[in-house]
Amino acid sequence: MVHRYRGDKTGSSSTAATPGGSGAGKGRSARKALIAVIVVIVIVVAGATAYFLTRPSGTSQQYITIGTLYASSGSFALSSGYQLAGLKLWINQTNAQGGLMVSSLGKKLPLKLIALDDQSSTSTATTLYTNLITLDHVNILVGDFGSTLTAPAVAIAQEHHVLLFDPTASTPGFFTATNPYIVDLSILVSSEWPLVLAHYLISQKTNISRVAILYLDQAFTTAQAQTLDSTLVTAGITPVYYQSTSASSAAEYSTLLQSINATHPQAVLNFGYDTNDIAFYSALSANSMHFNFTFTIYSGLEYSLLHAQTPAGSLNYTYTYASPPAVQYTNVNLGPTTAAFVSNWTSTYGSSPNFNNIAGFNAGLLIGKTIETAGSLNQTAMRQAVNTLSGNTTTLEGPFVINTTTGAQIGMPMDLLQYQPGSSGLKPVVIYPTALATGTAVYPAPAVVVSSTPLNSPAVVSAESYYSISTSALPASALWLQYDDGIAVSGVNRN
Amino acid sequence: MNFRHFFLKDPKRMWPEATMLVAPLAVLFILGPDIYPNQSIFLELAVFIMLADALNIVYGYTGYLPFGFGVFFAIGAYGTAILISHASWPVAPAIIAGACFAALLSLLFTPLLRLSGAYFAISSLAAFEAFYLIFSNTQLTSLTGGPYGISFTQVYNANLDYSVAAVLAIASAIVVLVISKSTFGIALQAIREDRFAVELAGVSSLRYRTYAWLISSFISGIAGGLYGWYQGFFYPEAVFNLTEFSVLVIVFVLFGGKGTVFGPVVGTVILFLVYEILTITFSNSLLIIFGLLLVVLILFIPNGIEPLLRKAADLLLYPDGRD
Repeated sequence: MVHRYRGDKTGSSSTAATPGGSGAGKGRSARKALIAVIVVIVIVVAGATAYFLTRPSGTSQQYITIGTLYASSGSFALSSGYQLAGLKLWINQTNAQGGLMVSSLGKKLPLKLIALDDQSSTSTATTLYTNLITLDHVNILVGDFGSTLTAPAVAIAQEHHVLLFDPTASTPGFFTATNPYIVDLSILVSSEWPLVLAHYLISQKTNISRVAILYLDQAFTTAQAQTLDSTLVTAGITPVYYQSTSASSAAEYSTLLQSINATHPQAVLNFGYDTNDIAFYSALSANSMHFNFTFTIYSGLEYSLLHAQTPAGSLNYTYTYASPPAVQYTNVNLGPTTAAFVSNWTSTYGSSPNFNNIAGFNAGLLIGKTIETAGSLNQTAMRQAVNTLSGNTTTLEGPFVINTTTGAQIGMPMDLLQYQPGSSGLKPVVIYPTALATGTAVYPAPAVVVSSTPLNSPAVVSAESYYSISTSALPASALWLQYDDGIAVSGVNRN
Repeated sequence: MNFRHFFLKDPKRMWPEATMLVAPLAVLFILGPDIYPNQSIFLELAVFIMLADALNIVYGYTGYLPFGFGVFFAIGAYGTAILISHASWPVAPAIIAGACFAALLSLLFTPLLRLSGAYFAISSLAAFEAFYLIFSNTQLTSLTGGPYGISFTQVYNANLDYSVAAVLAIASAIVVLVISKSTFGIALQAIREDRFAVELAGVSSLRYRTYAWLISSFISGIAGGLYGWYQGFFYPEAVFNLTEFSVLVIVFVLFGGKGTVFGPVVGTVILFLVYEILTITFSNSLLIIFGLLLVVLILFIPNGIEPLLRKAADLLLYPDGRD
């Protein structure tokens, strides 16, 4: 390797000049060009420096800035977009009413949304969350969809003492007593979700003893699978198949389903995200397989998508979590009822909302109420205000109850429903807990393919049904949902 | 073996280049967060510079391209996190130990060095995937956090992390400079050019590649530890990210000029900052624009920008075209 510019100590540039004038001329012109480039770079850097160092930072509060991330591409794009759409609707409606009252300022302030695209990348999300806090100085920081894309914000928000409003990240590990700067607004911590399913299976209402559990190797799905597995094993039902997977295509799920089928399960429980569930049902149909009891998560959370993207009849007699909009809350004291929201959404967008739309809107509702309760945009005051809302607020998504120390959501429970085909389409029938049931399960699922049609007749649930136990006095690790079979579940991480 | 000669063949002749490396990077890391107040961008830049330098040692100087290179980064991150969260180690020894784990892992992989070309690249990729599955396995939840991720936010200190990362990024560049001037570096380059000729001359190419492999994995492990520290909480896929911590680093090194001292650093600074600017300003079309940019760059400057920089330096210092 020759390092020419380091040069020898004896030579000078003139002694080695290239013979002829053209080489020297080219050298001079190139040198001028290079100097010009350097000058331009210096000017740009100096200008940028001057701009950032001298820009105004203490302007009076004209609006409330809400900063959030979304994913326009990647594995979380669909759900992230749904959540953002819900949040946007709440912002639009609030601005149409003149904004939010901030009593410390003595006026209503309109909302301004800053939404940045992380493309489902955690490192990009890290950069953008920091941008929202340190450059945009947002008043309200809202997490992207799900735990994966919220994780980068947890430590950053804590470091900057900014409260992270978390709509749909439910990993228990986010919520600790040492971090007051996070609150879960719209989703039950993921380890709690399958309790209703476990209780249903344990209660022997279907005499199911052979259970197959397949789960995606992500925190959200693994937490559910582990809770279910440990609960079933404790009750004497050892799953005949228990396997994690990173599968995302119908071909991969076909291979897995062949293995599952070989264990002759009565119930097949698949824990995945929307794209996984679509692949799962496609593989089920392609292999002409049928199980007496089939459960997936996203057929409930994003019914319209699953219905549109899976083979006809795939969802018939399948089970899922009962959540809004399939379950509709009537006795709400903050925002519209579920039915009113669905009606408004449908008239605005021409299609039915799904759970993540509702989660985004619900997060907005609670943020608005938090600001009005706190009376300021102070982050600590808002955290305290959230605590005061817990346990006495019911929204279109159900009762809002958090662990006031950790910020984990322990309200907004999940029920169990089955899609039962009828003359006018698939009907979501809440089958468990019994006190809330709107019908009984059809088990075993008939092995006939009936073309499924759009959802009708949502189940109506009164939120008060869940308050059979006072939540405020319970420790963080206690089970507060009381199932009617009286089966106690212990060891569930609820921190 | 004379280690001083082995690594520092002629220390005095390094000062000009060392100054040219240290000064701009120091200015960038000191003024950067003031000019654009997003510390995470500059911290990630420091991490990527370390990774680019680490890759340059093994790929640029020996010609061996480990496609699953990011596994050492991930091991460093996990080693640091586990020692802090489970054993309550202080951060500094935890990061060093995490890097040692990465170096130990590289020793485990030394049989791969007997492979060459695509076989080596693919086998390192397989190793990456294997360790990803191990660390994300639910059976290891009590140790690694499994798919739930691992948290050690109790030691989170963004400012200190940034300062350390900036210093170590500069240090990694100096390490590459030292190697490039040393007997060791010359041996590596000889192996890259003709391994069999080196073997015929009585030099164990495997031994030298192992040294390079060890140094490279250690630096990657340090980078991983610093990155993990900054995250505070991360999932397996956040650090076992093949696209970002392997492929992107390879692109940075190629763009800058592999097997050179300045190339990987300059390539990383330019491409990473372009990537971040596009992320913030044109996020919807980031991948399209960045992809097109890479195609154009590879088409028109296939050897990287380091030769161009040298030519520019020549023009500045020797305007009359002395060669």
